[in-house]
Amino acid sequence: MALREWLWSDSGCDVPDRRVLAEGEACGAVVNSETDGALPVTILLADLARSIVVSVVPDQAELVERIPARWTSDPSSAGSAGDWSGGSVDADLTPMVISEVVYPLLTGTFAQVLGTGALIGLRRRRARRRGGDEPPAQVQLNLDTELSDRLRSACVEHGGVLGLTTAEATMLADALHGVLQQAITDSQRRP
Amino acid sequence: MRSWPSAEAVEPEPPRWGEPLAQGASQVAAPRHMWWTYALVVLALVVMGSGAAQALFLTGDLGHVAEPIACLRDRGVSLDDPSLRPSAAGAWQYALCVGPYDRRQVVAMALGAGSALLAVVLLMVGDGVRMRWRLSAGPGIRVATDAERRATARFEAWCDVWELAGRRRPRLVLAAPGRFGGRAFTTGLPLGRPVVVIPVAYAYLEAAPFDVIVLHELAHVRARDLVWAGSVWWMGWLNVPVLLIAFSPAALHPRSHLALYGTALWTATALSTAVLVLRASLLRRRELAADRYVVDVTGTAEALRAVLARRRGTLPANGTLAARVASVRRHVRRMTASHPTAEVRAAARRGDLDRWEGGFAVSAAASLIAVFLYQAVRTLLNDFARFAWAHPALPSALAFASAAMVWACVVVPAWSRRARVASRDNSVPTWSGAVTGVVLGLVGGYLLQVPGAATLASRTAFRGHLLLASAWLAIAVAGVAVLTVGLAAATATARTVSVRRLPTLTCAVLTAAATLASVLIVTVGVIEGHIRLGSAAEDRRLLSSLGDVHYWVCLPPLLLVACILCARQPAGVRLRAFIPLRPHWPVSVSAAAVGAWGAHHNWNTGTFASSDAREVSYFLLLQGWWICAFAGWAAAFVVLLTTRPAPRAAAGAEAAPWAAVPTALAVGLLTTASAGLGHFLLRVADGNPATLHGCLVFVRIPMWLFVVTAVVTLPWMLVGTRLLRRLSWRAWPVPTAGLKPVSAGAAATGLTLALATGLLSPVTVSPHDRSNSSASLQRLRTPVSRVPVVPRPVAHPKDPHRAADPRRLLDRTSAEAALAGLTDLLPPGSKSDSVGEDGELDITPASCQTLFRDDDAAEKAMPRTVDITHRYSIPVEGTRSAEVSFALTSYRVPPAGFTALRTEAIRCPRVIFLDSNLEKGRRYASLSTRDLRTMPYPALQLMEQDHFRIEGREMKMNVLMIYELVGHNMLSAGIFYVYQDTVSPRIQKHQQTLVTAALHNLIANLRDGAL
Repeated sequence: MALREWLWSDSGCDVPDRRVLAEGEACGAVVNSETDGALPVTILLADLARSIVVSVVPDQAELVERIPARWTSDPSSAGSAGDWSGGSVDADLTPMVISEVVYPLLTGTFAQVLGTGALIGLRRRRARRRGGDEPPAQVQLNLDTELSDRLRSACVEHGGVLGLTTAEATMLADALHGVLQQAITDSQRRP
Repeated sequence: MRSWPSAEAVEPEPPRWGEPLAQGASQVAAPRHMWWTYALVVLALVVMGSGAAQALFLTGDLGHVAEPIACLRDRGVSLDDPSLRPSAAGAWQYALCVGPYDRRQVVAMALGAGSALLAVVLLMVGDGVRMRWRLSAGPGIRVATDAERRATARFEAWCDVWELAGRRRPRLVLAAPGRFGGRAFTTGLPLGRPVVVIPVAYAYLEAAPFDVIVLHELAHVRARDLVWAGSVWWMGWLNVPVLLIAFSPAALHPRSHLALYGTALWTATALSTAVLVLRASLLRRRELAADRYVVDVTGTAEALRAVLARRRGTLPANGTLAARVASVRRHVRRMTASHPTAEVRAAARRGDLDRWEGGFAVSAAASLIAVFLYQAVRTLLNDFARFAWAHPALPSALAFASAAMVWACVVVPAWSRRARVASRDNSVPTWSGAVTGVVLGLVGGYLLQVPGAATLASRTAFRGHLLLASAWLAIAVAGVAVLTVGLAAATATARTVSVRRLPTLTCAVLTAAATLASVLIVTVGVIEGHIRLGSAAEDRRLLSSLGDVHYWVCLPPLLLVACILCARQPAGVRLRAFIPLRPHWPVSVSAAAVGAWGAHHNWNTGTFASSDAREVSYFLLLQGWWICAFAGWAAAFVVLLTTRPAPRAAAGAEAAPWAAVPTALAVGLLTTASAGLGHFLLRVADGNPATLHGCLVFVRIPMWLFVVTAVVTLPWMLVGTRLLRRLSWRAWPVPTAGLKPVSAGAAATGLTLALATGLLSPVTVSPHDRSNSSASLQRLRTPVSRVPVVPRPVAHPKDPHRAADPRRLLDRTSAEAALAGLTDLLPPGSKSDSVGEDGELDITPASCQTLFRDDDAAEKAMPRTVDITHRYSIPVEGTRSAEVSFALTSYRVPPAGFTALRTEAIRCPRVIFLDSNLEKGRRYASLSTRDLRTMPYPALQLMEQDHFRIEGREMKMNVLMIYELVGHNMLSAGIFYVYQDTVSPRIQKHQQTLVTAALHNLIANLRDGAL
């Protein structure tokens, strides 16, 4: 299973009943980077994606609300409709929609910077907790400016892999960087 | 349709939501319908279904094959050698015996064809229903947001532009995020309202990319791509499973039927793969056409390129292993992908579909299906036995005609569009792929077998000469293909008056069809004649006479009409403009005069040593007709060589003189007809009778000979023309008008001399052709196999002058004496074989082995006074070995009858003998029995047909045993032949005669009281 699918599939996510993620719920990984001087910040990937889309294409705010639930609930329909069907003609034209590309972009970016080992370890830990009533896992980063910059660079690189132009990838990376910087600022203001 | 915007053109402003749609969009024509795919799919399904039905008919024995075989055997007619035609009385018996079986096969073929069509329709409906269920099953999108509302409104507005209504108006479904791979597509039920599925995310884009998606899908809807895409898809997947179902009754005898149908399965698999690859290739062109439609409607390619830009990936560096692997994978994917690469789509060239349709793949597919149709129609017509025996050449001729018509209807318009695209682009089209496709399709289709079909006449007729026959067939077909290229090119460059397009194209189609049908009939006839007779004289006779009676007679008028319609005429209507081929009259007159004079002079002066006046007359007449035909050929060649390219043609067009082919051939035909007429008039002037029939013969036969010459030489003529043109363009920049008739006259004179001096005799006519041809036919009538003559029975078994009762219990002396007299029936060279105990072979199934063993034990347990068997090897040409056995057993208690034998045949009609002396250790046997009412005492005939392999060859064995129960005595006589391929019907008849005579004589001997 690809990393992206694992992260957002039912097996990798604690979102029950295939419902839309509510505010405060998250699906992702807990990573404790023991960077000295870094402040622990809780990042909700769904919130992060939402923030990026709102800052880049505000028109798609209502669309992005629908995407996580669909992304996690219908993996069987991920294949093309026309590949094995004689009675369908597929256009094979897929214009880029920010709301749809932001999730794989963020997943790939965080995996590239933070590595997959910790994510897999989390999966085991979370599996042990599934029997209880504990809240779903959250993405927690010891975020600092250096990590934010690395995530921005990775976002640009990963955008190219996903077929985005450099301008598009840079735009999204800047938005990501801005959200992270805001998170750092907010955490520093917090008593 | 608008032209492609140039780079300098000002790009229109991108559309915005809520703005009016592009002006002039309603004038943009939809991508062309693919009518020919429907025709080919239906024909392919009919052929496929009929082939599978034939397989099921045979493996399931739905026609009760034993009935006609027994009936034919009784009448001495064999099915094994179709080349030997029985007499008129035999034909009637054949029709009586085989008629019911063939009628059942016709019904089965019709049902199979209908079932295949129905199955594809049902699968398409099922597929549509499945997609509809998938669309309704998942979480749908309610059109709730502003973005979704405006997207829906824009989609409806586009539909309104082309006034799509009713079943043609598609329904929009906005798919939830993540569903159906996030792609837009069109689906629907056959003949139902299409459904365009677009991911809801696209409603949040700008209007321009949304328009690209919608217009692309509407292009598919307007072009009705769903139906052909679905039908071809299911046809590709259905072929092999249907055949497997048809072969399923043969599962009990897999080896025997694998030999028969193994090739069919491989062929079906290859054809199915080709169908799916061809579908993918066609889909790619339809995608390009849909993209082109988007560009035409929006007036810009930028929006399309922007959407496509995301699909361009990065490639590995050249030279690395990854690059090589990726290259192979790309190549395979490119063949099976239903969409072109983004780079190709972004180029969005106009006319890609037209170029492709006139290329290799479609030409080969159309040719293959046409020849398969020939096989099916021929099988069908041959099944009407009385009709086929009454008109032996007609089923094949009609089948060829229908195949040629289908072929021409698909190929000529496709090639014409290809030529028109090239003409529009000021480029020279390449035809090598198309011609190669036709040659491979027609020749391959003729040699291949329709999967499942029971018989393949072509492979049988060409046996032993497959390569040579294929080469000749390919040469003839290539000539027809080149002629068709010429017709298509001329049609494409005709004046762009729409009212003239259709008649011109119709004439071109009919001309190509008539040419192909007549050429195939004659070529196949000559090849088969050569294989059977091996006589060059007979080949030449067939070449000059076969075509004289077939469809080619349609060719000259059609060609002339096509040329008149294709001719570039000056502006305005002038009477002289409608005079056909006016510029080429001097060439025609010059060559015709030479031809007529040469033929007449040859008649007056030519002679050779022969006492048969008719032979001399035959030779000189045919030589004169050939001279007229070659005069026409000289005129055609000069016209081809000197016709200048059209003023608006491209600079390189002079190197491709395709469009001049019809004109050249029409000039050649007119010249030949004129020469023939002149030859006839000169003979009349010499005092020969002037009859209309004679006049027509002198015109018709030379014209046919011209067609033969033209078809065989046309590819080489074009090559020579290109070479000479290149040379002449340098040496003689302007060919003078006066040079043309002189050149034609000189060429005709040279060819006349070559004919008169015998240089061309090997391919035209030789002095003793008539007598040699008759001699070869006489050889055919002489039986190849020397069949031993069976003496008539000594006396009728119930002769009242004999005293003894043959039913009595015999002693050994009497029995030996009775059997000894039978050797008189055997042919010279027969040898007595020692009689030993047959080694008992294991038999599969085991139940049959048990049954046979029990019956043998029971028979051996019966008390007897005598049990004698004599065996003899007899020489019979055409067989590997032949053996006769006579047996006489006298039981103390008269046996009750043949119950055991009948039971064995009923319970074990097919068994396998496990014989270690044979390859694979198996011998497959089919058993059957029937009562013989014609014998004087109760008699039973046992027939066994075996096949097995020895020394790598498939061998067959026929066994015929007749048991006759005469009181205490069981008499039996049997004969078996081991042979390869087929055995003459005379030999099979000899089996029956010998065995029956032996039993008659045996009874007569037993009646003889002196013994």
